[in-house]
Amino acid sequence: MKKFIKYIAYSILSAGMLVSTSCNEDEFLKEVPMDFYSPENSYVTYDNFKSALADLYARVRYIHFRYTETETYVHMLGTDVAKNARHEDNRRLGNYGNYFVPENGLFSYHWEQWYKIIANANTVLSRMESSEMTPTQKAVVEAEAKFFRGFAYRFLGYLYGGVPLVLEEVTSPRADFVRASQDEVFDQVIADFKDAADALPGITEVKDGQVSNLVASYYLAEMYITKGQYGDAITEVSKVINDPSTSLMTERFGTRKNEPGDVYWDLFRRDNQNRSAGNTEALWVAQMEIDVPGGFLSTTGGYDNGLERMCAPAIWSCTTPDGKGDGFIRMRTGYNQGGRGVSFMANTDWFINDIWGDDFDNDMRNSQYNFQRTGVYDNPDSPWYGKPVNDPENPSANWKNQKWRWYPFPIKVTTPYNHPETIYADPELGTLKSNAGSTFRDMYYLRLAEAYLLRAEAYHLNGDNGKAADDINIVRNRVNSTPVESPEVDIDYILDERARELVYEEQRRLTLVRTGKLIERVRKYNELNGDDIEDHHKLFPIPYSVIEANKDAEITQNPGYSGS
Amino acid sequence: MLFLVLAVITLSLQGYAQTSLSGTITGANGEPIPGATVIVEGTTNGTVTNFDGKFSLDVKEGDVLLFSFVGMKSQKIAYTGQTNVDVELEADMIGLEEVVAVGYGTMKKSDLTGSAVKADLESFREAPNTSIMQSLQGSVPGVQIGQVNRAGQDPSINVRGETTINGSKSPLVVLDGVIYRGRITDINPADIESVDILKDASSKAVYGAQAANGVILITTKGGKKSMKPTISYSGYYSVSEPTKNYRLLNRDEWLDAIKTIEYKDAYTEASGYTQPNPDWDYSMSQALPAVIEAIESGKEYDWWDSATQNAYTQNHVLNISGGGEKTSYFVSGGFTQQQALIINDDYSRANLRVNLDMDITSWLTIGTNTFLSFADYSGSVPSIGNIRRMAPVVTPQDGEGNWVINPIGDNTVNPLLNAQALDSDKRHQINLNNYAKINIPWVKGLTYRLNYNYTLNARNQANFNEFGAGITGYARKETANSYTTLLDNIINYSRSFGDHDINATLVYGFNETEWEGTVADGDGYTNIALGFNSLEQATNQYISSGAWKEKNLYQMGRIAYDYKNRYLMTATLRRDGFSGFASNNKFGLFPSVGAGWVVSEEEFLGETLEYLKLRASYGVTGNQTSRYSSLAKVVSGDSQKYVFGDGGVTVNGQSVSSMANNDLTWETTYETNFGADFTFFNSKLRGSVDYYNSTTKDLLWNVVIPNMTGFSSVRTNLGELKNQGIEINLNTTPVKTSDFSWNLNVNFAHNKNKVVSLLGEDNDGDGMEDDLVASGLFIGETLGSIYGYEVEGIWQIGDEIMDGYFPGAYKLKDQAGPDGSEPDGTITAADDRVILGHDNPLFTMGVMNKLDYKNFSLKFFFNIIEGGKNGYMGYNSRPTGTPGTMASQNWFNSYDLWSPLNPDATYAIGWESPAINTNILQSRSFIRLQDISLSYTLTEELIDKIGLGSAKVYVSGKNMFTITNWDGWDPETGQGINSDAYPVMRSYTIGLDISF
Repeated sequence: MKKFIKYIAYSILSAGMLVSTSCNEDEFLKEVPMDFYSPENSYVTYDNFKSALADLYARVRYIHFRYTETETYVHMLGTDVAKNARHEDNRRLGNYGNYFVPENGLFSYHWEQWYKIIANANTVLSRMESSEMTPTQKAVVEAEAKFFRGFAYRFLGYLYGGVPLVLEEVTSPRADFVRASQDEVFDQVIADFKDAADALPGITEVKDGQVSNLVASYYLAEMYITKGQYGDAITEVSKVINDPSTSLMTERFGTRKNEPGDVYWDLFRRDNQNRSAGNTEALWVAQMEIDVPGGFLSTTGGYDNGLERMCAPAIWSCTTPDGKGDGFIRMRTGYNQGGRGVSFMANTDWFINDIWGDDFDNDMRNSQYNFQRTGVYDNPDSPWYGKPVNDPENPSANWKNQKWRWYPFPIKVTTPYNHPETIYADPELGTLKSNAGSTFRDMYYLRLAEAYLLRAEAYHLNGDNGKAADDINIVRNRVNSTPVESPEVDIDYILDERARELVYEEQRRLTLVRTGKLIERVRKYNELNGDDIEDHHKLFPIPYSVIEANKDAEITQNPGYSGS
Repeated sequence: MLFLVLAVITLSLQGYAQTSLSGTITGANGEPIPGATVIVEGTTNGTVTNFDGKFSLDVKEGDVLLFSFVGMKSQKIAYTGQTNVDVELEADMIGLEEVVAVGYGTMKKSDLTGSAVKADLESFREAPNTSIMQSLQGSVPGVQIGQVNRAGQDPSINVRGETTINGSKSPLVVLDGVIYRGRITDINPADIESVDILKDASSKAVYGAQAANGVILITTKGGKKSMKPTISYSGYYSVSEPTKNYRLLNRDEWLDAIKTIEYKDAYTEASGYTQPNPDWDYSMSQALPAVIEAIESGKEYDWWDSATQNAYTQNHVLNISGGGEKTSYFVSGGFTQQQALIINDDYSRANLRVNLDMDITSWLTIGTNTFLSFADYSGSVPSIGNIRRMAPVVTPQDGEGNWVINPIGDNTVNPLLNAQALDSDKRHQINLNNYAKINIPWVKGLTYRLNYNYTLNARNQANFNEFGAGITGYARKETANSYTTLLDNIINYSRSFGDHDINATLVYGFNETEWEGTVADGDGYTNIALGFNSLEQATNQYISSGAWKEKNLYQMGRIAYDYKNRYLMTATLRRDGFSGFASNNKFGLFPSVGAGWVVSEEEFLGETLEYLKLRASYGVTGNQTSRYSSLAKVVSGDSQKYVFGDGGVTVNGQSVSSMANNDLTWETTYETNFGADFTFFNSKLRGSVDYYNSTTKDLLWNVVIPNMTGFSSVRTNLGELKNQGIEINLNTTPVKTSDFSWNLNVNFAHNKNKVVSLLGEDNDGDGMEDDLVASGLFIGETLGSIYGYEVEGIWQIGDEIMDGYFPGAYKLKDQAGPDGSEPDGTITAADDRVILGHDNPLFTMGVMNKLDYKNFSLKFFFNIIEGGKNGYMGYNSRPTGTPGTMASQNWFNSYDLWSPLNPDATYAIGWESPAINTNILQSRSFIRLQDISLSYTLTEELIDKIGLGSAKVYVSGKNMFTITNWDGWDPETGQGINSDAYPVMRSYTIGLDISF
């Protein structure tokens, strides 16, 4: 027995020593990641790089359509077409003076988002050489990465002016960045877009949502205009227009073509944006799917792509003229309520009333299907049923002082009678759950109508107003508007036409900054911001946090801002 | 295992039944000594004294009784037929013979050269603390324990100030000799014998790279060999209420608040907005229509009442301890149940512990300290923020009893719906802690000990909310398990050679922890009947999982030398390897040395000094980096996925999310400690004083880098931080008579920290190292500096108001213009931020009074944290939102809100945001009567009648009152007027301890 115990004791002792000492220390302590990848093992195959590119698509979609009230919609708020609906000084760009300060997180947000896209594109470009990809694969990957890098610098250059040019992956800390000139930034954009336009596949060869050589040509043309190279611009954008696979949609099409409406309305209905849906006008479309990983849209939470929430009026919150809260069956799909809006962003009075001019009644884009100009109580149990909230005799009690609760709005922000099934609170009534608010469809980054208007701009600047008018009229003819006479064509006319055609689609601020018209047109057309915008607001301030973190070199502030 | 325990108990129950001897054991001062051991020499027949120091034991003629107690000299008395024997044990030197855990072994307190403190657990036994750490709150100098406000919560712990910026701030916990990484709340406080805290570097250095934040050594109870079995029960029941009786505004108050929000319309401009506008009514307000409707219907509803419940805690512990000649055992089972203030904030815990120690042969001892803990945190707690948001006029259910989804008519979901969710949250721990000890037979004093620990922590959560995910139904299950293995080989050599005592220890061990977790969730349930048990019913299904592994490998050597109990020396060296260290720095060395001089033992001093020991030590400790922090990571998250084409397949995205740093290393703290332990005036005054001074280098730090790199920060080692402080602990007995005594314990700690160096760069060329403003760090200032805008007051109607501000907004001080020039009339981040103060206490203090009168004992304890002129500051934030949402919301009646009628208010309005939005700073200094208890120990006659060994009943109170200038819920947690979090509670407890 005693011997047995001794034996056990020796075993324990020797086992303990053995376990502790016999293994190689470095091997034992080697750190192996278990639930994440490392750069060394995940930028190797073609699939790896396709993943890295998918990340860029997701990030560009995120910065355009993620739901935030100011960060995402800053390119529409405070412009000539849209404003803070509630006229609040300190929210949603209600006042330029209060918002446009270097400390505002709005500016570091855009800076950081775009530079992350640049950094990720640089990682792809820097790690491509040592990968296993074939030369053909490399060429496509390189073109796509360069497109996104150029796209990011395009935003940064227009918004902030000259910014630091970073063209390679940064693998160790540095804080010595200096601003390049705006011209140098634009040269880089042209270089990247050129390479992209040369090597990207044609529009029929890419999947829906992927960039093609036409997309690169379009942005290259736009940058040529900015650089004053109008002839080059016309050549590039003509490639887009003349491509046999692209054409404006002129006939009813798509999922709801048999319902009352018109072709402009069809362009913005669910499942009608992609080329696979027969839409030959679409050049580049942000892809959204509902309740699918990577699909961006959800019926169970969040309001990403929340144009409906931002722009549709909160008419459901209007009390009746006698102060009762029961005038509406709340938050309904359709034209009257426009879905689940909360009145954050409204069109300017100029846009709502004046921009249509003599074509108010015949311009399809202002038709009853495309621009909602009435709002009525919709609860049959209310004595006010069917009466307008803005009845001059009997206005809604709270609307009287709070005009933001209802205003006319473009129907393209919503999907009337066609919200996803799972977002209805009561499908019979068409009421929506409180987490509705997304615009449940794919979104255009670019469609052919814009290419015509861009070429018109190039022709006009190149002194050829006749051809400019021809291009504009292609767009106007499609919507039954009176053709423009060539002497009437100037930059302002083109900007007006862009507003009519592309409201809430184009990043309006970029267009205005690019054409040098932001300050002038906001003063002229924006009743809220006209008084508070100042000349230096044509550029964003450089974020103070960036200046502060870049401790080894100076990043100068833009003129007019504190610290400049 | 259980069989073994029963066998042992049965064995030791045999062999006594003779005449009964009773008596009392007291100390030299006449105080009874509870827990002293009485045994018949050479037998297993023994007992321990009760709370009154009384015992009774069956003996027979010729027995020799051995009376002993820790810190006292043992006594032997032969039994000669008497029925009563009172014994007075002589103090060996009060408290100094106490044995203190020092890591990989124990030492007599008198032999320590560093700063190690044993916590006074006994004084807090009567408080309803579910975590042992709460018993240390305020009672140990230099150890700051955070306040808890949730059921079953682990408090925060901080030892000797902060020595890190971005590194771990948690001290290392060692349970029964092995490193413990579980939740401290899992350990039943009733099972804990002692808690020792290693504070200075020379003591901590035995734990090397993990020790910088202090080491807390927890030792659980054991049986005693040759002791008759004692069965004890203790239990308490405690009821709680919030320490502040704030409530949400009632209907009338709230209606006035709407008028304040809409004051520009609701009052007339001509009157300066002090006279109501007769043309205005609530239907014109910006409140949501549902709210306006509810106002008109005249309803009132108390949401706070419906979201709160009676808070209580109950606790029951039963344990059996004792021992035979070669075996001792301690077996305990406990049950704790806690129901906190907010509905469903519930916690229950069942514990089982088996501690065994068995001498197998004369040279081999094996044992175990094993415990199981089953904690249940189930219950879906509604968001307090959303409860607060509900206007007091809307109701959670409509007239027919159906739930209202969005009571105020916006997207805020009825918070009570969340409380309807099925929720299960179970956290189980199995902790097997086994050891074998061998006295190496051929070398006297040489032992080998093997500790082997295996811990399984399992967490299983499930939730089903039929109202979740936009009322489509949401269910989620999460399982997460961690597995920890630890093996320590400890060789100890302890021997006296005349006046020379040597104690040497060698350790070689490793520790490995593996974690894995899986989350499956889904939304869109058409049939809710199966709840979370059939996740596949979800329309949209999501999964995610993760795993990690980390390993430590270490060696440690320690030698302690003692000459004539007068000159003491300790030296240690630890070598630590950690998998999370960067590839260039896998191992670190951590040396320390300490010396002590017992001055009072010097013969030339004669008897002038009762007891005085001086200590000095120096050592190096580290703070590990977190695992994987030196690696570049490539992430592939949901937000990076994309779908090309309608109905296409999901494509995963990937990108690099962090920058690698191959040189990343641990933080190193170099600390010097000077201390003195003393006993004066016939043991009436006992105490210790420590002064320390530490420098931490290579701070772990997420340094902000310009995001043009693609990253916003990178983990680096940089800079230098200094801490210095003083800690004093005093025990006195001001009054002492035969029936009455008063014991007073005061502890005091002061710590000051200072940033010495950061990047070591002077880019602005002013000859001084630059601050890191972007990270909020300033050379020469404390780590807790608060840098921001100074609030000078509130802008009033009629003031000439700066652009971007308005009446009711905070008026910020225009400190300067660009580059420090004269104030320029605008407020900017570059020019107008200053250091406003800091958040560190000037000192912390604990005062414990113990008053004993006959069988009654009254204890009360004050916890004091004082910030001084501009220390221990916190921002007091206010509710904010748009006018429409604010008018549809409620807030607590603690909010002294500005309005034209209340221009002298403390707080700015929250429905408009100024160009720069900030909050006001207030001091969090406080004095709190944290614990008070009154206990009565039953007299011996009574106990005998009932047939018990001992019995005690008590009542106690916790957080009885707090004196502070802080406005709002609690200064210690920093919850102000806008608390959307759980209040700190006041408790009243009644309890009973019996044993037989």
